[in-house]
Amino acid sequence: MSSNYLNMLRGQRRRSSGFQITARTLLAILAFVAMAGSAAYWWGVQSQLTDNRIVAVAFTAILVLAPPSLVSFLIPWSPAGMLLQKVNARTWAFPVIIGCALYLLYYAFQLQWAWWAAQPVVAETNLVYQQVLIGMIGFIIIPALLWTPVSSDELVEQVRQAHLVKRYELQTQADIAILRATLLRAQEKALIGFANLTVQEREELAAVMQSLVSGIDRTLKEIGQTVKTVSGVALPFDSILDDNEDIRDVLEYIGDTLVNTSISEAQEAKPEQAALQASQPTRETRRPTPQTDPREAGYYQSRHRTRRLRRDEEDDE
Amino acid sequence: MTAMLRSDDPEATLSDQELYEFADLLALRLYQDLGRRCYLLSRQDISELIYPYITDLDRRDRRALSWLVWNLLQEGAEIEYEIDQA
Repeated sequence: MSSNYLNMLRGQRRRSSGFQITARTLLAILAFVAMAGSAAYWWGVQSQLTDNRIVAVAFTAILVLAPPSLVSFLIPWSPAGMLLQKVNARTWAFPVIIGCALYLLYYAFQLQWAWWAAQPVVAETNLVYQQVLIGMIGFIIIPALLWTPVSSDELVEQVRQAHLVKRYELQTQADIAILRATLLRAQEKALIGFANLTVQEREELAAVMQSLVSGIDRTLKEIGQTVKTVSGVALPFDSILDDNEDIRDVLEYIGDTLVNTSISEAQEAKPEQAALQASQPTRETRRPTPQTDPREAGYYQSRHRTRRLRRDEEDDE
Repeated sequence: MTAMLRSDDPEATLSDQELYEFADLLALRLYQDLGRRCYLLSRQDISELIYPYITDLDRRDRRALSWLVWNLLQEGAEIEYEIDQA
């Protein structure tokens, strides 16, 4: 007993799994046949060139497989393939592929020409070039059109990597531009002289120094992340500067020195004056030398200690 | 649908062939109305849904029909599962 309901469902299965012959399918069949023919042809030629069967087999394999595979890199057959080709064109491998593909095409052309020229009928009818071109298309171009150099997943991954590298380049350029502008501003302030800076300018200078190190640190971290993403190799760039205790101490010291000097002087003045002074640019008139300043004693002590340690290390070496 | 099965004799039951054809029609109707959701129906649900079409049938036929429709729907579910896997 047959069921209309089940037949309807089975009909869906036939429709969904129906085999459709497309031009691509036909090309695949043709390529398969052409490659089998190519193997037979090149075996005939190579076995005539040498008595060593192993060498003949190896050369046959090379001539059957290598030209289509290399030419397939030169003939992308999808928008993503075109993009990938543009990306790969900048790598060293691409000129090598072009060179090898051209030489293999030349070799295949020459051998086929010589073979067909040796055929009396073809030579008499002047069809050598036509025959050779048919062989080139069948043995190399059609299989090359069918093969894709990389799978879709690899294609997506390679395009993604190229995008990442481009983004990293742009990001680094932007970072460098920002750092350069910030440095110029800091240099301007340095030319004025630290003693003549206003409280706001000192705060800015201290912040610049802090942010410069943080910026370099961030850039290094991003480089490390990009390299890790692209190559899978982890670089030890995680906060090597920002977390460094010595650098942080020095930065904090410079920041405190620059900012607190004026602020403490402003605080020493009367509250109502201090309030007024805070809104106006404040110039420092007189300041003790750094070596005699008790506030900087710790810094100079540590510098002496650092120098002594460095000297000890040099002596050890 | 029910017209072809209507009989003057209340005691008359349907033949196996008639039962199967009727179940097939009912299963098709349920699939058209509910789509793939019909595979989630229990036999009790199916009995309720097909009840308007089988009110004048013998109790044994009603019971047989609910089982036959349920069985057909399960077969259909297996076929669709295979389609999805392919």
